[in-house]
Amino acid sequence: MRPRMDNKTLIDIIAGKIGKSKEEIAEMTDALGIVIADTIKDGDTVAIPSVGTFEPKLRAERIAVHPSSGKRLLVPPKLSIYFKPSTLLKQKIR
Amino acid sequence: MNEKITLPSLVALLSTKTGKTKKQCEDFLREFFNTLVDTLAEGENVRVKGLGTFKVIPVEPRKSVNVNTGEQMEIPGHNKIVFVPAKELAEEVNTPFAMFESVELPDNVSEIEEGKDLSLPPSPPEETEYDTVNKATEPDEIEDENKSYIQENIYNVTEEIEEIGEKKEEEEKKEEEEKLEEPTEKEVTEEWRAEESEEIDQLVEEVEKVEETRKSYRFILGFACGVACSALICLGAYLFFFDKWSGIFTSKTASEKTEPIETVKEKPIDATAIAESDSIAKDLENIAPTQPSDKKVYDTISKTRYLTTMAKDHYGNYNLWPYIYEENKAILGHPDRIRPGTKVVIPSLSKYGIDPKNPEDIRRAKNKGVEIYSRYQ
Repeated sequence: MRPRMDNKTLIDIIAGKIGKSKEEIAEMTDALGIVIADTIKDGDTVAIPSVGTFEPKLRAERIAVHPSSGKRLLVPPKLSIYFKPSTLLKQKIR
Repeated sequence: MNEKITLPSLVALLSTKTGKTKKQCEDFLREFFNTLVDTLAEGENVRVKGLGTFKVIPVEPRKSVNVNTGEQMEIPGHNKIVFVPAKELAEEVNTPFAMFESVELPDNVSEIEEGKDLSLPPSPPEETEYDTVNKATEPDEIEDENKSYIQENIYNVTEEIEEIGEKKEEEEKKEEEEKLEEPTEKEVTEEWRAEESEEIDQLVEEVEKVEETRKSYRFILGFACGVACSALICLGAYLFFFDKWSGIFTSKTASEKTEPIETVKEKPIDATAIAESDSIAKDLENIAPTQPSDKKVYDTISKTRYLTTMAKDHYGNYNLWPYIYEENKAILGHPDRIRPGTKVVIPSLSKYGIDPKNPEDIRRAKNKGVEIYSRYQ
């Protein structure tokens, strides 16, 4: 398992760099999530240079079979969020 | 819609959301994404609360073939980024579709049928007309069918007339019957009319059949006799059985006497037949006994007005159409083949215990729709 940076550490780092309180940064991170969600919900994409784009993706309705009961279910369409990393980011993590 | 939000506009949105200055927001965003990228570049996964997890996933090196040269080559192993949205973000994004739930399909519903059910709510297609036309172009088969049916009915009619015991009429009758087979379809029609007030749906079918036969060339030969017979039967029915409806039947006979000749002369394929069967269906609906206590709401199907549009108008939700269908299933037939001009009863929703505002009831209505379709498999 790769090391994972959790939310708290990330906020600590950002707070240290900008010189603001952790609470402020945490608040802004939450707001960022909400803003992105709202934008995606409207069908827009969020493009962040050198990082990537967040895109809405419509998953069409489909008929699935329940593995244990064998019943056929009609799964409704779903709007999900898809992150497409920029070429720069892909290069960096190679 | 479908716009690209760039960093500056994201900064603006964020600053209105948090109430901070644009400068502060821009700094924050820059730093946030820089840290994110740096951490990912080190091969660390990053979890951001309210957004999701960015994972760095190693990809094994694999063999491949150059499509152009056919040369064997190896794609070197590398890392890729996978973003898993946080639960709250995924739910928030999916709100336009949140009201849908997985629906269990009955086993006998095919995939095509199911798709049709969801995408196209029932409408009155022109297919009805085509059906009738097809039938009309194969007159031989229909005639054979009808012959046997008619002959059956002749016996019934004969019996009845004997019961009536009007000797004069009886003699005439028998003479006529010896001469004709086909022409008696007139009287058969009348006979049916009288009997069928309870079985409306059956009647609509049968009336159509009779009309097909009426178009046939043989009808001309027996037409005059048919008129005479129908007059007799009307009289008999009037006297002995159905005196309260007699007015309707005689008036109908009058209108039909003139109509068939035109039909035969013009074309074997005639759209008026449809219109007429509709009007008969309507008449019969009016005749059919209704519960006098309930005040009924009626609506008429047209090319632009379907069961779904009625459900939307009367109940406020088009998904409730199955209840209108249920109320009128006797006269409607297949929900996708309803006929323009049909008058339907709009039942009160309380009769079925349905609340249009209750999502549970809407779901039930949808299932009912699926069930109705499955009847016509």
